[in-house]
Amino acid sequence: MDIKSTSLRTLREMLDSKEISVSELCGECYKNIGAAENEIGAFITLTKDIAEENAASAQKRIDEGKAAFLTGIPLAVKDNICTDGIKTTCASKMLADFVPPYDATVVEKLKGQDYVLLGKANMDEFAMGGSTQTSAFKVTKNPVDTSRVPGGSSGGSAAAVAAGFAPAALGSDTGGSIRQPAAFCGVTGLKPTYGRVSRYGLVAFGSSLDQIGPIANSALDCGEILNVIAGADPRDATCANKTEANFNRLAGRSVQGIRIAIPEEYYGEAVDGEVKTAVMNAAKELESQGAVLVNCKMPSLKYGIPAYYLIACAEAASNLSRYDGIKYGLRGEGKNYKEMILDSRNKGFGNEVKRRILLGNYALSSGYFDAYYRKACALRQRIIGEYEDMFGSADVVLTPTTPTAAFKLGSTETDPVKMYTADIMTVPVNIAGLPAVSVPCGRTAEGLPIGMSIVGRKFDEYTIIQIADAYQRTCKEGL
Amino acid sequence: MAKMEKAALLHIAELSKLSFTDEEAEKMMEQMGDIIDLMDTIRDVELEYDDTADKNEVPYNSLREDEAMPSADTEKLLQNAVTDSTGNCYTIPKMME
Repeated sequence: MDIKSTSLRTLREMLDSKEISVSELCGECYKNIGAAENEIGAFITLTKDIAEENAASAQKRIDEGKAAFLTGIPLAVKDNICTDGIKTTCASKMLADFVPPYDATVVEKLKGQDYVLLGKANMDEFAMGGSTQTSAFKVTKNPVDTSRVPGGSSGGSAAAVAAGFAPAALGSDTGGSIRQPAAFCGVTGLKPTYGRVSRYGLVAFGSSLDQIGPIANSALDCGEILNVIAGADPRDATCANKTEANFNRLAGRSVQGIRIAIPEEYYGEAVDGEVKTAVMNAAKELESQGAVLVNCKMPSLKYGIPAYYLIACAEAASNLSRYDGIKYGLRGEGKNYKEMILDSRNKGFGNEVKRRILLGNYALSSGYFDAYYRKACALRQRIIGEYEDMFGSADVVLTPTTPTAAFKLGSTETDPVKMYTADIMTVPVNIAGLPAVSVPCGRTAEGLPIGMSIVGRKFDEYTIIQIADAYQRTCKEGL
Repeated sequence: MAKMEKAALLHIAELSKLSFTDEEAEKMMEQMGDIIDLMDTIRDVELEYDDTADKNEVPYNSLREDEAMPSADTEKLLQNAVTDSTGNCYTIPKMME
């Protein structure tokens, strides 16, 4: 069976009708993993024994007629999402041997449905990067072209879906880490509204920006996963107290009359011509289905990168101060307490993580706080205001997900500024806490996937899924 | 691109509980200089942060009910730590002579 072209709903029907058993479905995934994982490197930890146990429980539940939507569905989970008793490394030497004593809320919810855990997916160290090249453990290659990066930081999750290792995966998105790898690998990735999904058990990077979300083969599949993982959580005070409904409830309806904002700054010189053409062709396709394109402006886009990096790194510097080698994590050596902490951090963190901690502490330090951190917070307010203006005349915003298609492995590894500026398309969404879905919308002449992002109002995942689904029903590119 | 000064790097390294060899510091000064140049693009923006506006941006900060719940298992909580012979405490190097 072809995992990549089979929707989660079809898998559900096949499992319920006994056309396939959970064990057989997992066998298909592991067959694909066995054939190509050595080349792709999507996983840090494969959990085949646990998957077999999960599969047995799931099959029992199905046989009893009590299956939930994800019962028996195999998934990959990014390695910064805590799994009780299973290593969660964040792709860092710091947490190389860390075994969480509890599950993240999202994992609890998946377990509540008897899902199957295939393995923990590779990522940029502590989710800091856009290529998965900062992983301390391995390189992940893009399944579409193995000379190229899969994107990041959820590169392992996106590669696992693109390679047919898993029908869907969980990633996390602080500045584009679900959408950008989804675009590079030709799959669909949804970053929910900040506060839609509990962050409890997600290893913290930028706490006002982080969100867990799905990567899958279609927007509908993303909606199905979101149906399970969304919802209030008493253990995360920033998780919104929303009554959940079916996130796919608008799917299948016409996009007639839906207003789509096209901010001109997103289509400037920095964006590759093939990317612009593909996204504008997708916009025209939606227009032909009845949507209305609205030209608009987002003047502060040019400040998105510094505003984002100052806020994210300030929060990261604070969050990562907990790694001292005492209660968990790599323990260094030293004659005294101070030396031991220093050695733990020097040995545990990679260079990109160190750079971001330094930048964060620089922005927060005396004499620089107002000029950098406070100014970044002011820009955050302005960017939120510009989105509000756009949503005054439109229902969603349509942009490229990335300025270019996937780049070559190693090409920007040593140039942090180049890496940071490549995030320009995605970071404003996190700054404003909005939901967005990246959908494949074409290929370059070299055959590399191009992604477009549909950005919605806060807590309106329904409309972005509706539009993404309307596009995917007519244009199967990338599926 | 202006290199970050060594004194500035050493200061933020200390705040960050990190240290660098001379060779590492040299490379980091260059990279941090480039990164700060990129961040400097916002310094001239005439804009004031509005302390009151963010309160509206985060309307949800609902705290859970203050109810007693079972505590987590000590052994499990310490499974990633270096512990003493009892297994009930984590250990650190001597702080005082």
